[in-house]
Amino acid sequence: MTAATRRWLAAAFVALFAVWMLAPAGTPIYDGIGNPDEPYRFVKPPPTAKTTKAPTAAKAIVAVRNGLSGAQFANSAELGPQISVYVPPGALQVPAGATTMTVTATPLAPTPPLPSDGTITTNVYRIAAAAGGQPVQVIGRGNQEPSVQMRSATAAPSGPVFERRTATGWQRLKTTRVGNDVYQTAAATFGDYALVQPAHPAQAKKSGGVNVGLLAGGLAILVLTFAILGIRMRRTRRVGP
Amino acid sequence: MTALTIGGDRRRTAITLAMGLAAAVALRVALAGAAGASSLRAGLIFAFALTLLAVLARTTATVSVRALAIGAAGAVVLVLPVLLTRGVSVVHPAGSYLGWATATAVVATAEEAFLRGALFDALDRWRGANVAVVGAAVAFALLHVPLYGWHVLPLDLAVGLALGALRLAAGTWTAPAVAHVGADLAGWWLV
Repeated sequence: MTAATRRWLAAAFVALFAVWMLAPAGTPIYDGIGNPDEPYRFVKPPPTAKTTKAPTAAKAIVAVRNGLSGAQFANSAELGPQISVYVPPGALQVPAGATTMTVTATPLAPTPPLPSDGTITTNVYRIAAAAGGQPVQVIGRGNQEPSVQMRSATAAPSGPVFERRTATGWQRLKTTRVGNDVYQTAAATFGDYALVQPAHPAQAKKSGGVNVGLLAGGLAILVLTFAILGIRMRRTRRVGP
Repeated sequence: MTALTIGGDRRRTAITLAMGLAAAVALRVALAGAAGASSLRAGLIFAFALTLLAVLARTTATVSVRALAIGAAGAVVLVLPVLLTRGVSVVHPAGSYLGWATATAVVATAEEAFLRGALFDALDRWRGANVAVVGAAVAFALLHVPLYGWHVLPLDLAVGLALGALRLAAGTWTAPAVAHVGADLAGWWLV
């Protein structure tokens, strides 16, 4: 084994342990087929829900470097995480003298007022940032805006949408489906977030089934790749070793 | 002139393989639809595409006791942080393990044949071993994002580096394949 290989082994395993300590993904699965998420953990389970452990909060320490907040993930500990908050560099307002800040996402049961345009299907997560016990505001915009991912309690074809609690009720947010049952939104401000199943199916984003455009594009590029590799292999054979 | 042609050839091979990987991921995501990573059909077609790419790139597998031992040790290291931080727990129904395990092993092996086999070799020939380790790790991390979300990126990047280091240590992709399959299969009992 060469010295370079030993260095790579050491660096890789240090990185592995460091990531598990600092930004665990909440799942030991590095890949695979359909290792299902554990049943959704509700603060206040619906009557039909399975008995589970209590949901966990997500918490992460954000370092301050050169007066700017650093990048950090805060994931809850379920398999997979029920909430994941990503704070990009410079996203949080740094109070004078602060060297670290804490980002938390705490699960709560839905309480009135409830959304008028649908039903909350998950826990409500109260997302907050603080330094020295004082709340910290989100100042990042665009690429510096924090993002929130939440796992839905079910993987329904007509997925839920993100909503955030406001002073007068709930506000619907632009929602992107980024995984089987994982949804993402940008968080211009922290506060209470939940996934809401719209009352009218037309309001729900249809995201199930086969994506024909992506399928056609993927197939075309794949066939092209096979052709290029095949031609190159044939040429190499003709030329010889 | 010959050196330039060979260099260009190596670069083109690496780029072609990266393009093939992107297409295979797009195919998997498109076929899976709302089922995402849990779609068996999409996962197996993805594995078939990666395997075909690896075969066309003339990737060879070397199976040796040393490679298997390095792979088994790698699997233990990959699982260790999970055991230490989360412990063992059973949350999945035991009856469905065999089918899941078979499909998972197929996909993980295909990924390694492509990433630490074909792509690693192409990057190694083009830019050297360091670029090969990092390039294959970045590809490994990115290919999981559409299925699991961005939160897996840091962990998968670290895992990708570890698997690349195992490839360097063993000199063949079968070692990271053993580690990858082992860690995935152990994941059934880990929370």
